[in-house]
Parts: sequence; C-alpha cells; structure tokens
Amino acid sequence: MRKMKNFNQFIKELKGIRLSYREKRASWAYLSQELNLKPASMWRWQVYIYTVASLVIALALGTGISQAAEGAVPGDILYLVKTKVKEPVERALVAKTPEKLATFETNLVERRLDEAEQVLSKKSVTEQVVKDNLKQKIAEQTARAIDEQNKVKEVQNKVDNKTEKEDKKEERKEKNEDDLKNIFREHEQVIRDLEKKDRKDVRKGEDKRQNKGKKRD
Amino acid sequence: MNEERPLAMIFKQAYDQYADAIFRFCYFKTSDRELAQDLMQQTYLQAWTYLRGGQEIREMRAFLYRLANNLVIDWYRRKKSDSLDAMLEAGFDPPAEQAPVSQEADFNLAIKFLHHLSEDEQQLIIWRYVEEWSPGEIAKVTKETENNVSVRLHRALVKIKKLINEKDEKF
Repeated sequence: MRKMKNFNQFIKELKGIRLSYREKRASWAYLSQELNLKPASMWRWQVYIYTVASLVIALALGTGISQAAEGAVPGDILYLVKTKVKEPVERALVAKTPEKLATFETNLVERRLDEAEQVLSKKSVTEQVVKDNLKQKIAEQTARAIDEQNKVKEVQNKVDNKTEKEDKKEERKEKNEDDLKNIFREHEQVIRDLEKKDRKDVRKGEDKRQNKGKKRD
Repeated sequence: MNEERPLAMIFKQAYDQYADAIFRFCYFKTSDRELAQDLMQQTYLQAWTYLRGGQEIREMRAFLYRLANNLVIDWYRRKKSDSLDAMLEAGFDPPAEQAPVSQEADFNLAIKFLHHLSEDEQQLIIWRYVEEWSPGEIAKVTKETENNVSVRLHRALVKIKKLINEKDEKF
C-alpha cells in the first residue's frame, strides 16, 4: 500500500472521485426523459422572449412585428422570430392548397438565398461556420420545396384525363422545377461565394506547400 | 405548462451546479459508484417533484443534500434489513457484497483515512477542500453559524492531518 504523502495528495485523490462528463450527461438524459423536460419546450420559451423583445422594439419603432422581422437575416435576433414564428404562420395559411404550398416553399428558397447574399455582403470575410449554416438552411428549404412540388405532381398525375391536364397547364400558376432552376441561376453568385473556400484556409495551404522547401526553424 | 419552463431551467441549473457534489456525497457514504449515481438521480427526481409542487426552494444546495442524505439513510436501512434477512436464511453467513472496484484502488487509501473521522467531520473536510465551498456556504447547509463551521472545520483538519502524517500502513 502506498503511503499518503501529505494532506494535499489526500485531497487530490478525493477530488479524483467525480462524475465523468459522459456520466453526467447520461444522468441528465435519464432525468429529462423521466421528467419530460423536452428541449423543444424550453426553446419555445426562448421564442416567447424573442417575440416579446421584438414586440417592444416594434412598438418603439412604430412598426408591426412582422415588418420588424421581415428584413432579418441569420445572426439577427429577429431572425428567430421570422423563421420560427412568422414563416410557420404564413405556411399554415397556405398549407391547405398543395399548389400554393409548393409555391410558398419555392419562394422561400429565394428568400434564403437573398438572406445569404445579405450576410455575405455585410462582412469582408465570412467564417466557414456561418457559411455552412447558410448552406444548410438553403439546402433544407430546397428539399422542402422539391418535396411539396413532388406532392403536387402526384396529385396531378391522379387526374385521369391527360388532355384536360394539358389545357390546365397554362392556367396553373404554381411554381415548379423550372422556377426553382431559375432561382438558382439568378443567385449563382451567392452559391459560388458560399462554396468558395475561405481565403485564409487557401492561403494556409499554399504556405504549407512553400514551407516544405524551406529550412525548419 | 408555460410556467414549467422557467422551472426546468432552474432544475437544469441545479443539476449543472450540484450533481457532482451530490454524486460524491453518495459515493463517500456507500462506496458504490453505480449506486451513488442512482441515488443522485433519485435526489433530483424528488427535487423536481418539490419544484413542480410549487414549493419555493431558497437554498438549493442545502435542500439537495437533505434529500440525498435521506436517500442514503433509507438505503442503509434497507441494506441492513436485507442482510439480516439474508443471514437468517443462509444461516448467519454474511452475503459477500464488496463494493470497491479495482479501478478505484487509488482512492481507497484516501477514503480509508477519511473514514477515521466522524461523519460530520468527513463532510466538513469534503465540502471545504473537495467541493471548495466557503465556510459561509457550508453553514447554510448545516444550518449553523459560519463561525461554528470554521471552528469545527479547523478541528477536523488538525485531526486528519495528524492521521496522515503519523499513520503508515496499519490501520
């Protein structure tokens, strides 16, 4: 048996007895499941705060909340209100008609691209993390748009009479794949900027290659 | 349902702040890591019931310790009666139920020293030097004056230091 050298070592060994990070997290997972502490509910409370905050701001500025949130881009406080409160409401209002929903989701892709453009134009260098976030939002929204467009196609394919379908094609105003393609074409620059690797990273790569030939310090 | 969200946040905070200490408390009392984790979880489950019941908890730390202490006591009572029953059935052969695991061998020595103090003295040393609480904070848990805590703490410290410096391997 080892000899306990001094009091400090004694305390040090006692301190060694603790929950590991994983154990602590596991216990918390157990507790939140047992007690039904859903994170979604806690997030809803945050939205509540943001909504109240935006209401205060809107009142101070003399505009409606919706309008206050309208121009919000990722990174703004009101962006949360826009995407989690305003847009779901707008979605719910159009959800009844598949065609209108498809149009709504397609338009939203454009909105996400516009927001990305704004974020990129604000700073000279945008961090990769931010870019990834923007890309993800665009991808998610595009997926949603395609999803809804496909649902519309399914419904339309069920229509028996083919000739009838062709007549109505011109009348249909809902957006489809072509519109989506156009949107992407119009925002080509934004997409390119998002896909562009950070100049810092590129330079690092170049430096590394150069240093290989040099002496090591 | 909306009123629960602030409660959930208080609860999470109480967990982040004191789960380690409560776990450690249970471990020092039972020498069983899994059991200590289980008791810690039960402590928090009970705490939540109180929170939901609308009770205001002014001193969370003291409250959690009280719950944990009661749970440990209950466990001891059950264990005692269980082993008594088992002994009666098995004919007075005590059940082989040793808690310490090999990976804890490093800590066993420190714990052996610790167990030479009284329960109260042990807690004081742990709270002051392992959890690093001030005498004032400790006083809130033990419900005495800060001065009292300091005095008792000093005595416990002298005692344990003496033990460590004098005693070798024999206990």
